[in-house]
Amino acid sequence: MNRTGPADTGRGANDRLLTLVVNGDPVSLVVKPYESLNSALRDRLNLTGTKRGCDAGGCGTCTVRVDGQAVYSCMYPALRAEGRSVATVEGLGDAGRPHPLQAALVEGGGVQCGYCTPGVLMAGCALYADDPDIDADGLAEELAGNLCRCTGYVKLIEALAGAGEQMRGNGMRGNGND
Amino acid sequence: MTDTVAESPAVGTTSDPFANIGRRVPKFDAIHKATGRLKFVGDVRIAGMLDIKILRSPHPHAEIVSIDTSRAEAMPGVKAVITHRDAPARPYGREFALPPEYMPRDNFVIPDKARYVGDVVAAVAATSVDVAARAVAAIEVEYRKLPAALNASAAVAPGAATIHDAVHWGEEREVPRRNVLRTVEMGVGDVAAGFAEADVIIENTFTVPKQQQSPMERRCIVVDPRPDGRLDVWCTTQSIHGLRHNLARALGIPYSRINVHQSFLGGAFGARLDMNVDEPIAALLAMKSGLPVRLQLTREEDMMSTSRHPATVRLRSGMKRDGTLVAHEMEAHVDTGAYACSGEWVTKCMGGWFMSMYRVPHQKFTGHVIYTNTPPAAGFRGFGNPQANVPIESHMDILADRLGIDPVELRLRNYIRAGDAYFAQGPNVVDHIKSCGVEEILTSGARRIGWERRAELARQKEGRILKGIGLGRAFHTSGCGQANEVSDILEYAGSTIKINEDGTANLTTALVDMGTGNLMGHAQIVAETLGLRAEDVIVNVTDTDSSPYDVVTHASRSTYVSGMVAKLAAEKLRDKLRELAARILEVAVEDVALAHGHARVHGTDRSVSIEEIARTAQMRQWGTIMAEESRRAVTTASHFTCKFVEVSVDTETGHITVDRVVAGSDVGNVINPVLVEGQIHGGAAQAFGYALMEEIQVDQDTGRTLNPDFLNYKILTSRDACRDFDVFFADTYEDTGPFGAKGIGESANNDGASAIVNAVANAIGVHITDLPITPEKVLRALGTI
Amino acid sequence: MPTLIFQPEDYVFPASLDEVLGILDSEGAAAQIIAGGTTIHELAFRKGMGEVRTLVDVTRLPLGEIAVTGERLHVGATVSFTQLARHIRSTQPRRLALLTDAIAGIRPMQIRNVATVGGSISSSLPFFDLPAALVVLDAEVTTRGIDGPTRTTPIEQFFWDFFLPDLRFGEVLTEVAFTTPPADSGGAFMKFETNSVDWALVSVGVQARVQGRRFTDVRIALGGGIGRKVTRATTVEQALLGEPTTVDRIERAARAVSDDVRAFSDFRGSAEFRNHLLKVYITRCLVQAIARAR
Repeated sequence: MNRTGPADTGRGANDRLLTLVVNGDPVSLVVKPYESLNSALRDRLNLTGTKRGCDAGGCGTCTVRVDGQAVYSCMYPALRAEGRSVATVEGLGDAGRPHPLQAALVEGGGVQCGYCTPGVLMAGCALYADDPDIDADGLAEELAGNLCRCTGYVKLIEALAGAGEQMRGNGMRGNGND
Repeated sequence: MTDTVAESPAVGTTSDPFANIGRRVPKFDAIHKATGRLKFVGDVRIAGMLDIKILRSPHPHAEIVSIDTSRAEAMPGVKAVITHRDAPARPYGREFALPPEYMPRDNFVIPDKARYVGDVVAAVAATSVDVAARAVAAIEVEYRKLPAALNASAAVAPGAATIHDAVHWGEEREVPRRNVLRTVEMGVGDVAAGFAEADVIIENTFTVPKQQQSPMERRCIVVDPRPDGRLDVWCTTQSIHGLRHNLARALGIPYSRINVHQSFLGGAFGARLDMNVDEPIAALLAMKSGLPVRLQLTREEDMMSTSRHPATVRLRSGMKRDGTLVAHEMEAHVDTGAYACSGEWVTKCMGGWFMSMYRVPHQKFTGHVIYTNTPPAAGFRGFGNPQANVPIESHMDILADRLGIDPVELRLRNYIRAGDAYFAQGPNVVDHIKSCGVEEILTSGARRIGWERRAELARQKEGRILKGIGLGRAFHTSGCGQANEVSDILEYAGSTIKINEDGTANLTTALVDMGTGNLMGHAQIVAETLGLRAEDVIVNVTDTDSSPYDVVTHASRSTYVSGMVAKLAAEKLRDKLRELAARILEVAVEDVALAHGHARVHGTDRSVSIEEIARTAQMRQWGTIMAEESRRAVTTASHFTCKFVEVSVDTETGHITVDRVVAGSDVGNVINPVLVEGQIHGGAAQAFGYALMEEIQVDQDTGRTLNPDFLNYKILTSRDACRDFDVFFADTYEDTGPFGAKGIGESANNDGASAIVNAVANAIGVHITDLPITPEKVLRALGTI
Repeated sequence: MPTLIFQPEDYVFPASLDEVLGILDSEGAAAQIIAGGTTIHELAFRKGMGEVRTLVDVTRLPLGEIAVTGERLHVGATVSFTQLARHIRSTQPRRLALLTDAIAGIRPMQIRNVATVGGSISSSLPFFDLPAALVVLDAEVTTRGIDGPTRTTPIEQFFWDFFLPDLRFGEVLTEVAFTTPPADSGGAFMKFETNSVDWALVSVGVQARVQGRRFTDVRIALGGGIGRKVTRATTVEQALLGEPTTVDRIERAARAVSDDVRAFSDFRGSAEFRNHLLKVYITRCLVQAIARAR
């Protein structure tokens, strides 16, 4: 595919207009035909909370939710998100009002380097939205696509499972930012 | 500060926010990370920033006959192209903790000969990654292929191709013979005499794999050339000052022309311990183009730039019938890959770790550091320790069973203990053990895992699932401090602290947090010294321009060395606050102590808050209340760990599951249990990966790395990790550490693989010596296939 | 500074299947269908997209339905793994345990959420689990070309080689259909991988019918690094017909599996190891299938 084309720094003939909802707000932007949702978020919208650890669907740090479902944004074509609702860590909660999963990871030592954290949070939200009763083993089963090299998954899973108890108590599902 | 220590409550049980030591307080950076707000290096955005792509060699060993970059340079959007013709002619070294006078130097910013598949041939800065990639593809290179040595045995074989004509050690030029960078020799006593005394002698050869650090964050460098000719640098590095020094030397410019910004790392584990080849490339392209540049490695590139050193390790052990070790001889062939990196230092440390595990009167270590035409290795959590620990701890179990002595008991008879000398970091860093909780962690750990079942498990040979329990014991140094002033390892840190006008404090240290929470530990130490709450201590994000020197985050030194310096700075500041309080309260300074945010007068109820002191100092213009400290560590402290693991081996498939872990650690007094437990959990998971599945594999025909990505290089997932994990601490106090603390980062990792090897042996009756213990190797050991 | 791994000139969302077929007809090898996008991403990442200039996204076409006609299940090409598993769980969880096993083993969920049934079949890779399970069910693949009529192919014959399905020039896979196995049969799917998110060294799917404690029908499909396509263990199947459903008989029959495949050696494991694993997993799957058949 080493065909030489024009420099693609500015707008080109192939550019596409993409309109979607990001963290509840409508957004329009220009993307290349086969640009990833990850690139649209990080490189176009400057939403760098979503990470890009491998670009190949191998690490999970790029996980976001599209219409509630957890996907790898590095391999999700941005144009496919047209008209859809995308949720990223930036919309999940903030220091003043953290989402229960955020608070649990912070309090429970589930965050070390923090590079897997945004992806884990978005995947965790999707899992709780799907099954509010999911337990630690269920979380460990389904988070296999979110690698963490720091925690050995001990405090990570423990914290997420603990948050589940709290959310069930509050009648809350994982969809903090749908 | 012994009074404060005496009042410290039991680990993690307090609700008093001013009792900072031992408190389970969340680290200050966690919320920034959990909200996605923390800016990692890859999140730095500078207007007009170019992207860099690197042209890499497809051949494991080839001379560059010619390079034509004209097509690439003519492409719209391409701003700069560099090849070996643009690189400074002087070789550079990578290591942060070695003084330049000592460091091996065999790297050129871009070499004129490729030494592994993936070595740098040229680099392009362009307006996007895509343009840069296309430009790289348009560079025409004529290679002259050379014979390649793709493993250590091939490299030292007669007639093997010469990988490096020369390597500079400081300014001294050396010619490596048969691709051996150095041979490290250490010893004590006379091993021949020792073996003559032995009743039992065993010898095995172990192979330990090329494990990749695999931090989730990839290496990234941003360089912004400023109008005044200086370079602003953001980099995934474990040392901002170390990077500044090495980068300046590689480019041949003054240190002061570079300002490296401190960043939180998305993991590192040694992968960012040294400067790599990418930083000078990015800087050179920034200088050539005059524009800000970014070099973000792909996962493949990152995985092919660092690894643990693979090694073949022959160990011979001699023991008396009563279980006394009398002779130990280790010979290691350590594959450093295509460049020296830290190969020699890792091997020296390996010798030290080997000689410091047990009291053995006759010991000999020989380590050959060998160049191969494979991706370069680097430091990795443990720094040579796991490579030595697996053979040693395997032999302890084999000898125990041979002599009918319990393995825990055998270790208790032989371990190096308080008062004994040990090597803290290769042959030149010797210290004595001051605090030692080995007996406590071994005996308590044995009880917790149900060690008495071991003998019975060894007898069970029927059934699809065989269970086993195993023990691995390890130690590591905390820092590289030495009593003697002339040293071959740099080991000093610095802190500045100032009191804000609202009574809070700002701490500046150049120490890098790679995710461990070491800076949070500093906040707790400073807060405790000043009578503040940890959340009142703001840890600045700094840079090399505005911070005192710190050598590098490595060697389990953050808390012990840098934390101690922060404490000393805080003590100076505490004394200033006391003095000002005495002035305000009109009492003698000796009568004032700081606690609970106040300066109190002994024996009275009179006090003044630290906030009030700060405000008064401002109103009366006494100047900013601040203090600084920078000093060399003159001691180390050995931290000790053990892991007892229980495994299940599926004898039909060879699959191994880790069912339960009991981890005992002597880390001295625990500053923050949440953080220390996290180190132990994560270190164990990496060790289990090392034992069970992780290995970078290089094709022995083409030299290509077969699995440099997460689709093919496998680490433990949440589904594979063991979460039944009991962590406990020895009740020890290290007088030379801050509030009695020692390190933990590395020994958290050092013992895990050995525990697995021994547990599998307990289950299947075979000691496997070739790591990782893949299911296929289990079945071969069982004779199933 | 977008990060692009592959730059086609166009990415289109055709409104109808006819439009898709028209594009394929006019652009030939320059057009490539994209569904879930996971395989395309992998190919693009490995610079394996050849001369592709247009990506044709089929996920907005009406191919995402699951229709039930009697005992027959018709699964549209763009139904995701997650959707298929959800449908089975809410309708025939016991009789189609083979499929839910296979899908549960396709980790991570992020892949299950986007990867499609049609995409996994069209990729024609023995490492993919769902196609192997569908071979067990003797599924039929429906394809359409621009001028030709709808064509139906038994899935076992649909795989020719790596990335080489039986798709003629300009053809599109539209549906896969299969009959729900009878209630007195049971199925299972298992695989062996290095960690929990890996290409399988071997995968095994079985569906067995048991009457009077004897096998009356057995289908076994093998995947993973066992050859260049999903392969039936016909020798084992035949050896089991009429045999009692004891572990002993199963193990004996499974020994013949080496005759059915040409497993290969790579850095994940040797052919010898893979052949051994096949025997183990055929046995384990059949034991579970028998239990489910009761």
